[in-house]
Amino acid sequence: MSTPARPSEASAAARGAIRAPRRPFPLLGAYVALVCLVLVLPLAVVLVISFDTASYINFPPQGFHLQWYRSLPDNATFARSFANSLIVAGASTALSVLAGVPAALAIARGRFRGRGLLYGLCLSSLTVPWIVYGVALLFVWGFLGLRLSIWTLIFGHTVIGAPYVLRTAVAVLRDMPAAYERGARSLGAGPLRAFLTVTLPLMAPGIRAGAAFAFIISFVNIPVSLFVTTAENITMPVAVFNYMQYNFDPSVAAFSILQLVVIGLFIGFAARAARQEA
Amino acid sequence: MALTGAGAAPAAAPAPVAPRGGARPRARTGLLAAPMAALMLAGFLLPGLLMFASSLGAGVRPFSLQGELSWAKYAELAGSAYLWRVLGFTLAVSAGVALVNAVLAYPVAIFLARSRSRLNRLCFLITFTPVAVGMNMVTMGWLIVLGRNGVINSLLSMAGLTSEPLPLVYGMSAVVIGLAHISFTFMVLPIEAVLRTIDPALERAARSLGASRWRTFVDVTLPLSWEGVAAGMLIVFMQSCGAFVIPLLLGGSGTVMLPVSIWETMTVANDRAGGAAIAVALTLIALAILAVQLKYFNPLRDGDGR
Amino acid sequence: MSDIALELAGVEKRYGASTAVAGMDLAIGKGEFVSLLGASGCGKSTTLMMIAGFEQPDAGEIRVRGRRIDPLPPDRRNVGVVFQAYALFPHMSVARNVEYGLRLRRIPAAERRRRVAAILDLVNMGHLAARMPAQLSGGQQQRVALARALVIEPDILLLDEPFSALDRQLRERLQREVREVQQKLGITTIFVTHDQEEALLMSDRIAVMHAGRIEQCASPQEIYQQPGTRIAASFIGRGTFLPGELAAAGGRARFAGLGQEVALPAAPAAPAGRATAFFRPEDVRRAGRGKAAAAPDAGAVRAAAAGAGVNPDAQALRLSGRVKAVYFQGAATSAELLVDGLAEPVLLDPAEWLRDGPLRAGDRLDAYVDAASLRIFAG
Repeated sequence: MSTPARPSEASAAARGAIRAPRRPFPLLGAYVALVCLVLVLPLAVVLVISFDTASYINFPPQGFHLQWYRSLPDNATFARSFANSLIVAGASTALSVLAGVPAALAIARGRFRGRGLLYGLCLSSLTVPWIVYGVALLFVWGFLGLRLSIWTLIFGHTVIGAPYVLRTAVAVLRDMPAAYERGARSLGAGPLRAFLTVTLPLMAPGIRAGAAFAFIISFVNIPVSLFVTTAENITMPVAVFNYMQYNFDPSVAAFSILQLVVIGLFIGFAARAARQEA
Repeated sequence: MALTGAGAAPAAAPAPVAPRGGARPRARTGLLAAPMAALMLAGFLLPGLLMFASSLGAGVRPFSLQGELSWAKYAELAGSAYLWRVLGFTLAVSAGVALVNAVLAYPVAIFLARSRSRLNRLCFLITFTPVAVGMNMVTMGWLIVLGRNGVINSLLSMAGLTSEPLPLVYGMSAVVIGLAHISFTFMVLPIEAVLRTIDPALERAARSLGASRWRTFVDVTLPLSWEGVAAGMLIVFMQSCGAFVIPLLLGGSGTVMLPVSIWETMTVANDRAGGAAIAVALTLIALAILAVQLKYFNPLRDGDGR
Repeated sequence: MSDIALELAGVEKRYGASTAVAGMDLAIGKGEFVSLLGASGCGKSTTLMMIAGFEQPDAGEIRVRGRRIDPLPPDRRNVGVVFQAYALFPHMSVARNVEYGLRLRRIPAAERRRRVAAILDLVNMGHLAARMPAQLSGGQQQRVALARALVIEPDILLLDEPFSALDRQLRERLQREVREVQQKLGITTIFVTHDQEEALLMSDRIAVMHAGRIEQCASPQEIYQQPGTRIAASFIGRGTFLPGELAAAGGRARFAGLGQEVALPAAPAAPAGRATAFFRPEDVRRAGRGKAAAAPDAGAVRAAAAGAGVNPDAQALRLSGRVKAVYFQGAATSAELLVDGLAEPVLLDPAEWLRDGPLRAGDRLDAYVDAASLRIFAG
């Protein structure tokens, strides 16, 4: 979708000519700035508190030290949950891409009966709240007779993350003119080669965007992990969540800021790719 | 690109684009979706069925279900005044969040769609950040801002405006604020998408006919962007209905929402069937919203083959 | 001062380093229909947008009936605009679209209804007043867009390539309809187009634009028959350019090109030196049998050139060569002639030859162009 071009205001530098002053909806910029401030405020506050010397959360902070951060590596739960989060997010994203991209091809390029239904099935996990799925995941694991492990989480996160990859991949394929593939085919490329050399590279930004989003929502996810969490497979946000219910001290803040730092890389990634799509 | 009266769907819609002549057999193309379909069947439909079965009283054992099925649990839930209150509260809060966000996000969407300022990208990142930092941090942030010893109360008492801290947290308003914060971007995006599709010539036409900027906005831009607003509100409503962490930590005992009661029932009361039943109820609500979405926005509509 | 409805004085528009419109001066009389004609990027749409108020000139003034409008925002200029993509409000019916401007002017309801009905009848859309734009065809939408712009009785009507999205038959019909309506209402109109036939058909005057400047602004006949510049000549109609030299000797002018020397009946405006001669396909005549250079009215030319010492045999430019291709185009046929010394084939009307039988590629033709038909441009 193209950006509508607005009539631009020329610089007024003419002999004695009066220019009509350009007034975009007045104060729109100020309002947006205010909103952005409010959106960032709580997060900035957490950052500030993470350095606090007090042992309970209070505002304004009493002092400044890095103790909460320094003590994190000593915290066994922190180390384990951090590793788990990375593993679960990474693995589930990879699986989401492996499942979602071929499915996107089938749905966007295929012509067969029940295509719409298939698409609906593949997007079905988007329809229910994560807490509901968290409950369901517990049941299915029990039904399959499997012990709760990190694979439980990887599986569950793949189920909720794959539709995002699928959706963006389908959108990219839909917007891609068939002429590119047809051109490659007419020049002699077989279907697989045409896909690998033409389609896939063109899809790459969209796939990256979907994957980045799936990674983020897996990393920060609590509800889906909640009922299948064990001491071994606990993820970072769940660990923080558990802690937060009983303690409210700045270590929680430090924990969360670290999580944010990891995600920070992926925010830019997903945002850039998502903007290209919008 | 002019916006036609037929409406633009913000969600992705698949269009069949099969390369003609020499394309792989159609059946084989469909097989590419097999892994994902299997994933969803085993990973979503099956769990859903099991959850439903459990809510009917079945005990879930490895590869078998035991026990008698009955609607007893549902009767129990239907008779619980507490749960009806929770349901009402959930719907009310979700509607509130959707409304609040619709109003607050619209101008931001205009800014993102129209402005060519370089702050555009930064602004988008900021709206997306709450999602990326996670529910814990959002919750913590608002607890610090709204809490008894928090930012607002500290500032108010330093300015001498209050003698006692205001109880801003653990209530409905805190939950609405927290949920609005985390779902803000999901309201901005659909509105922005629709705004971008509005042909600028339409606004110029109105101006040339004598409409001021404000009139043009009210007569042309607003009506044509309505779909984006509706889409955003549906998304935010659904998200809020299913929200767990924020209502739990920011709300108090008087502000329980359905997801929280699911968790309470499962863990505190150790009632799996009950938790499953409430979850089924919540799913029905989500499906109802989805039905509304499909009816008006039809994201699975077949596009023209190109 | 007479009836100047719209005046642009020294209007300029720059985008960064490039100049879209450079020092434009234009005066348009009341009721006149003027086309801005040019290729993409020549500045014609930018000029229109400045008149409408959607772009601000960097220099110069725009005046309507003597009063400056360039400081005013678009909603205060009382110009009617018909956009390229019609821009009908999709959420309003035809009638509401058309009455929109009247509502803004707080015209009472009864009066509004009357005027809307009248204008819709004028464009033959009265029976579709309740329809929504999505239910209309392209041509119908265009008529509604026109009605909407006209009903407010604007000082100026601006049309920005309104027919470019329509097929040919519809376009030709709408061209006539729009012109008819415009003349009936006597409304001053500026029409932007890149289609020269459209401009020729509809306009009182055409302003041929190139690189932000007006090359020539004159009636269609004048531009066609007496193009002032190379660009005007090449943009309107078709023709052949012939590089050569212009010499002036003893009050008489001669053009040397294609290995020949031609005496020109009148001294052209171009200075002596390198020059380009230009002629149109209809100026190419069939040479008589025998003498290739014989001109039908050699006697008259001789008399006119009496005493000049010019060789009467050289009053015409000889063109001999082989036919490259013949094109049948329904009402007319055209042919391309490959002439020695000319890089491009010469376009001509082969009617005179076709009388003797069909023409094929490779046939030899002898033709000539009267010196009087040559236009000479500098450079």
